[in-house]
Amino acid sequence: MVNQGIELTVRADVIRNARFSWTTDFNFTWLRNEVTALVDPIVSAFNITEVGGPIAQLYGFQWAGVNPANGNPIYMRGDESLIQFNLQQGNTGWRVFDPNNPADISQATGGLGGNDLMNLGNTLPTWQGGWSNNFTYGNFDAEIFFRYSGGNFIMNETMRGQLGMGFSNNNALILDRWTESGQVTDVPRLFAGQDANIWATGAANSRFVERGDFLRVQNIVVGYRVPTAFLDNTFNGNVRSARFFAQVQNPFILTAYTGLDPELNTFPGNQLQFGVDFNAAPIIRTWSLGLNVGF
Amino acid sequence: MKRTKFNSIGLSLLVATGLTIGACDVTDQTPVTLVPEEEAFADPARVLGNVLGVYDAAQRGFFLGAIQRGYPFGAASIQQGDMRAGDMYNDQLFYEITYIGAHTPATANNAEFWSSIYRLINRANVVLAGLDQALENGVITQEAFNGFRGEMLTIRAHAHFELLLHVSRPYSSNPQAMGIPYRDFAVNVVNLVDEAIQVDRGTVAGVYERVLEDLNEAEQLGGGPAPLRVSPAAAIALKSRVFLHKEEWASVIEEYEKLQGQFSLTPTPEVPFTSPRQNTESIFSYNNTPESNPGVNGALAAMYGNPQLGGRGLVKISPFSWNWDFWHPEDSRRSELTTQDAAGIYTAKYTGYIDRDDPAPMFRYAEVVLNAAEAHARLGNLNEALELLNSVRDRALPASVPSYTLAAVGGDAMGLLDHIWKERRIEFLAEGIRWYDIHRLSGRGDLDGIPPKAPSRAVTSIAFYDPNSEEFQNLGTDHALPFTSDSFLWPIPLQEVANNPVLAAQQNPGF
Repeated sequence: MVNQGIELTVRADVIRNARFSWTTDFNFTWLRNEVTALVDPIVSAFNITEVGGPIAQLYGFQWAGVNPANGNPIYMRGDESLIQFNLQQGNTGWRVFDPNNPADISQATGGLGGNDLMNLGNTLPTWQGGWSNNFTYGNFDAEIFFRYSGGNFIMNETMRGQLGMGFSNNNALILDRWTESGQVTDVPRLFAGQDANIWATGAANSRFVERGDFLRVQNIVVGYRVPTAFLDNTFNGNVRSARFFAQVQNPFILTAYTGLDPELNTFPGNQLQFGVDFNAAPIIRTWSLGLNVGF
Repeated sequence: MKRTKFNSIGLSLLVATGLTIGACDVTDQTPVTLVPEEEAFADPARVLGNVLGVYDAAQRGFFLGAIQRGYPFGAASIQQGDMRAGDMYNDQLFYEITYIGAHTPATANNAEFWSSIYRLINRANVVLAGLDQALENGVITQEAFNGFRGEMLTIRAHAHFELLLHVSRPYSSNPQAMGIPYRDFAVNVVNLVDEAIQVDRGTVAGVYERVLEDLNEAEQLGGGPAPLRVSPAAAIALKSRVFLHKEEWASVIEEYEKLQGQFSLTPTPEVPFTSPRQNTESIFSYNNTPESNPGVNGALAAMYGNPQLGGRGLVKISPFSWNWDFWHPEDSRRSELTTQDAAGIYTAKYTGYIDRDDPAPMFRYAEVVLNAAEAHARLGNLNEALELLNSVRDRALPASVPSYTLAAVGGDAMGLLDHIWKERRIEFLAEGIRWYDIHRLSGRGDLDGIPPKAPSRAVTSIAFYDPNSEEFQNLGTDHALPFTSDSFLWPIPLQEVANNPVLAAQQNPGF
């Protein structure tokens, strides 16, 4: 396996005078990962690691939408033909999907198989970095630190669970389910007990693969240093310094990812199963207020 | 001055590193708990430990990288069989892929079943090789060797046969259909992998031949004490099952006769479950214990058990099974071996709700008896068949209910066979055996495949079990799979085809 990349850092004192200073530090990392030799491909539930690609690519079935005529889910086979799972009591099963005649469910066909699994995206961020800014104004100081990352894909397995067909524990998106002929949506009609066919469980599914790009405000700090003269007068020189501060970690994130957080990883200890968000616990937001005293 | 200080730290680090490297040459780094391969069979206690380790692999193998869920035989073979067959009903997401037949090479249940079966087989093969070595070195007696070898051969044959019934077409439809690789040598060093992957699927008939070869030898060699260790009786019971699938009727009866006298039906049908570790009927069960159980996410009592009693109730008895017209209302298998709550009716065959330590039944004498009944019926010995059928049925019924007469079951062999199959569904409900019957009977054309089931997750209350209720009338059916469907079989899992070009070229059609 090879990792190649570049790292750039820019640091600048943008403003520096007696009352006000602004220092900024920006860094950028670009990374390319490629597996170069392996005895055999390594396959797990959502990922594949194989020669020629990055480690732990998402591996699964290709979603092709909801049939507007009947609400059936459509998938694309490895040979690019389309199949739909017919959701009709007493007449369930895989059928050929004909884009020119979506209502046609007459041709039975086999279900999804090993030849229909495809690479659905790289799970390692290809670019990432941070940008920190420090300000002072008289006795006040402030810091704001951004982090950004992207170029990777996430399998939002949590969302697949939340769109379960049991009509319980659902995401609000279940309200978009197909209900009438001609309706264009990306949630099939409800049909209890067919989750495994509807959402092609057991492997990743491109329906739930999302971009992991984000810009996060990682940290904001505001502080005030108590003037030395005041400390000397009040404490007779027993207190050398004092600083009040307020801090918030992880206050905002800008991302198109629909799950709780694009940095969640259900299998953090396993580099071969990267990029899967499967009911992982969210990253917390922390507020702190404090006083530093030096004696 | 500062510079000098750093240099000396650097120097001392260098010296420390040198010392550490030097120390490696003389320190034995092998953990004391790890027994090197060449010593694994060096004394009788270790030999026994290795033999019991194979039971452990059977009772609780790997599932998704962790030891859990009772794959393949601690619970999973029964659960997967029941979920494929449909006499038991699936109430949650847990077994839904199996229940609705949505398996692919990527789905976990079928994939891990395959992997854990071959892991078990390899362990048995490692022990078989080690036993040869131990005997040669005089570590164990010939008698001990024979017993251990008998156990390992039976376990190996059973594991192959179980997988065959999921992955291959039945012998009764086409003995020349693709089988599964019969692995008979230990893969314990990397370069043997290349040799192992040369073994192709062969034919179903070929696998039967190897299974019977192993079992015939095991039967002669001996084994451990029934029912929690494999005894020669386990080999015989499995042979009776294998011959039934192979439609060698006379052999089925011959195997039954070997066990007559050694085993007997318990006076009432619940005893093999209330006293699973000691009774006259259980021939072999894989033991589970509080210390080593399939966990809450796999144990039979957890998955099948009534939530009011501490189970999770993920699998209930199907309302259609409960309302079979051939299941007598006074049958004690209704009263003694089921329990109910507001949400449905559950099996009570597995009651270790807290410890999850119910032994997983593999072979009961009742099965051997009903196998022989079917063989007799096929050969036209209707009275013998009827008597055996009644021996299983009558013990569950009050004296006021008469035994079946030939006239009552239709007066001919076909009517009798039909009633034997029905009796098997009642007697072995929640024991996974119905799948074996669907597999072989579909191959003969006696069934069309997997019959319609209660729709997954549709049975939400006890009202569904009342045949006159609106709920039952409107329940409908789903998930039937014709014998001709590719999904009638499980595929070879992705992990295998990604690593084994020989099997990749022999994947089941449609996957």
